[in-house]
Amino acid sequence: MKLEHLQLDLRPRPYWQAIDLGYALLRRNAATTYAAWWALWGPLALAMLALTALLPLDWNWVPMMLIWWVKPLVERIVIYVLSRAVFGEAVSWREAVRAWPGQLSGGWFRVLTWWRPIMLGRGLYQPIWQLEGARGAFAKQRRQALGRRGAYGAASWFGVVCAHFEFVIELGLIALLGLFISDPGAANPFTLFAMNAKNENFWYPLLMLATYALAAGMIGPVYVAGCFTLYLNRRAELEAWDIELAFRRLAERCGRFGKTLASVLFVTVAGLCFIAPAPQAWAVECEPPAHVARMLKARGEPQDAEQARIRAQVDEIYAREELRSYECKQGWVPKKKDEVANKETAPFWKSVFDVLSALGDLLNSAAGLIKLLLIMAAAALVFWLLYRYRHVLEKMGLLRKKALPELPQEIAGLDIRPETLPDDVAAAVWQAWQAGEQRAALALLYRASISRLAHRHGIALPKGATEGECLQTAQAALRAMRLNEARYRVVKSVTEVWQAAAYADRWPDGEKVRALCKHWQADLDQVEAAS
Amino acid sequence: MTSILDGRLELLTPEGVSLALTPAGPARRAMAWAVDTFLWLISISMLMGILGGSQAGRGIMLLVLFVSYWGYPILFEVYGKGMTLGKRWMGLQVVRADGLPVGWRESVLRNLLLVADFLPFLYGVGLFCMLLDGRFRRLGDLVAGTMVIYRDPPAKPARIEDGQPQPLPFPLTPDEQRALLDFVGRAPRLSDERRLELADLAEPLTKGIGHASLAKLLNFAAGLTR
Repeated sequence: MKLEHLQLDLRPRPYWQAIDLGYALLRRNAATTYAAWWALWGPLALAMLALTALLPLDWNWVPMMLIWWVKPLVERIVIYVLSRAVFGEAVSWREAVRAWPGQLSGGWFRVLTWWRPIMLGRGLYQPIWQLEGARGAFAKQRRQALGRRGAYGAASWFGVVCAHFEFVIELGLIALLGLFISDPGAANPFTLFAMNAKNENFWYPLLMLATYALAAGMIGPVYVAGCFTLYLNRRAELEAWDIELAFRRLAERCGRFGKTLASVLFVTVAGLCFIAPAPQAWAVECEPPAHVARMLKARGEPQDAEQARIRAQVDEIYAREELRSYECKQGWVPKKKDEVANKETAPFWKSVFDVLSALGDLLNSAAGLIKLLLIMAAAALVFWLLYRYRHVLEKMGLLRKKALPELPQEIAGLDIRPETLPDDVAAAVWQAWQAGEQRAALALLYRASISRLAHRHGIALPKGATEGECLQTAQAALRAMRLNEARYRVVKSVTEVWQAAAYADRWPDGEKVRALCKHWQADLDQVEAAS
Repeated sequence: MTSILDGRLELLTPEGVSLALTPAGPARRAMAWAVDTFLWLISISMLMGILGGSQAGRGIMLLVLFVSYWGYPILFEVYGKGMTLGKRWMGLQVVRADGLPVGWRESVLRNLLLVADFLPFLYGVGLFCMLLDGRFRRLGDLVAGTMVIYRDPPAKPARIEDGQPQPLPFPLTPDEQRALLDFVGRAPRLSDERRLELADLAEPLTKGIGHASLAKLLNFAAGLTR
C-alpha cells in the first residue's frame, strides 16, 4: 500500500460526502467494475432464471431468495477491483474473476447466515476480512473501531437507500414494459404484484427475477463503492493518512532544499533576520478602554507645573505596551445581523395553523358564499385573460380589430353626410326633376342612396369606391344577408339610371323617375321598412 | 496522470475567491425527498381532518392538494435559502451552477421537471441521470442549471491550548501548516504507535524523533494558533 499513489483525496469529511466519493470512483472505473460484476452476476442470474422455469410455480420465490442471499459474496469482486484502482493499479475483469475465489475467505459464514437479513451496512466491514485479512477477535475489534462515531449508521442508511433504489429501478422496468402492453392498468407495476400473488402465470416470476437481476446489477456496485470509500475515509481518519502524505511531501521538499539550495537559503534567511523589523512596529494603537479613561479623568487637574510634568512622564511610561493594563488587538467583529433574520419561525407556523383551523370552521358554514365567490373569481379570471391577450385573438382573426369602423364622410368625392341631404329626399328629387334640373335631381338621388347605405344600413364602403364598386359591395352585403332584396334592387336601379344619364347621356322619362322616388322612399329610406 | 478524486467542485469568483462546493449524491437526496414527502402527507392528512366534512371543504382540499404539492418545494427553495424542510434536515441546499442562490425561474423549472424525472416510476429517470452525471444532477437540475450541494457547517478555527508557542524553523506552505494543525488536533484519537510514527516522519521539521518530535510539533502548532 503506497499512500503516494492514492487516487482519492482522503481528508476527513462528513460520512455522506465520503459515501458520495464512491460514485466518482465507480464512474472512473465503471467499465472494469461492471464487467467484473456481470461476469459473476450474469451467469448467476441466468442460472436462477432457468431454475425458476424448472421449479413448480409454488416454489418460484426460491431462486429470487437465493440470488439475493449470495449477493455479499459477489460484492467482493467489486472491492477487489476498486481497492486496486484506488491506488492506481489497473486490473482487468478477467484477473478479477480469477482472483475472486481467493477473496472469499474470512467472514463468509457470518455474511451468508445471520448477518444477511439484518446487517445493511455490511459493505463497511467486508474490507476488514478481505483487505486487512483480519480474523476472529481482532476482526471484531477492527469492526468496532471502524464503525464508531456514526460510520456504521451512515453505511446502514446507505444500504437502506440502495435497497430502495433497486426496488425503484425494478418497478420502473416493469412499468416501462407495461407501457407497451395494451392491457389497461398494466403500466401500474402494483397490479402485476397483485396478479403474481395468485401464482397463475408462468412468466411473472421470471419477469420479477429478471428485473431484480438488472436492478441489482446496476445498484450493487454503487453500494459497494460507496461503502468502500466510506471505509477508506474512516481508516484515513483513524490513521491520519492525509497527514502522513503531507509530512512525506514536506520531508521531500526539505530534502530538496537541503541538497541543492542550502547555501542560498542560508544567506537569504540570515539576511532576512537582519532586515526584519522589530515586532513592536506591528503593534496596534487604540483608544484606552473606558475604565482607564475614567481613572485618568478622576485624578483631576494638576496642582502645579511640576505635577503636570511628572504626570506626563508617568503617562508616557504607562502608555507602553508592556506596562499598560490593556492590549490592543486587531480583529474582525461581526456586523449586527438583521433583526428579521433572527425571528423565530415556530410561532409563525403555529399562528398559521390556528388561522387555518378557524378558517376551516368558517368555510363549512359559508360554503355557498365561497362557491359563488370562487365561480365569480374564475369568470373574472377568464375575462381578464381574454382582455389581457386580446391582441392574440385579433391576430388569429377571432376578433375584429375595430368593431365599428368610422362612418365615411365622402365616397369618391361625393359628400354623403346625412345632414347635407334634404329632409325629404324623394320630394326634393321630384321637385328638381320637374324644375328641369335633371342632372341635379339624379345626382341627389344617387348621393342619397349611397349615404343611406353607409349610414343607415351599415354597409362599409371603401372611400374611393366607384359606382360599380359600391354596387358590388351592396351585392356582397345582399349575399351575406346584411341587406335585403328590395333595398338592393332600389340601389341597383338608382345606380343604373344615374350611370346611364351621367356617362351615356341617356335620360329616363319622368314616369320612371317618379317610380324610383317612390321605391326609394318606401324601401331604402326606412330602417324598419323591410319585414 | 489522472487527477485526484475529490468530491468537491472548485468555483472561482471574479474576485479570485475560490469556492468549494460539494454536490450531494442520490442517496442523501433521496432521504431528503422521503422526509419532504412524509411531512407533506402528514400535513395534508391533518388538513383533511379539518376541512374534510363538507363538500366545499373537499373542494378546497383538492385545491390545497394541488397548490401545496407544486408550491411547497418552490416556495421553500426560493424563500428558504434553497432548502425544503427535508433538505434542511439532511444538510442539503439547492444552488445555481455558479453557486448563487436559486430564484423563481430555476426553482419552478427544476420542480416542474419532477414529472419527467418521475418516469417511468418513482423517479427512475432522475436516479439514472444522477448516477451518470458528475455533479449528481437530475433532468430538472440540468434544465434549470442548478445542483444540490452539502451545506457545510463553518469550520471552527483550531486553537491549541497546551504546549509552549515556538516559531517555525522555516516557513511552511498553507497546506503544510494545515496538516500540522490537523495532526495536533487529531492526535488524541490516534493510537500511540501511529502518533510516534507520524512524528518520526516530521523529522526534517523538528530535527528529532519520537516523543521529542511530538512535543516540538505541539509547540509549533501552538505558535501557529496563538
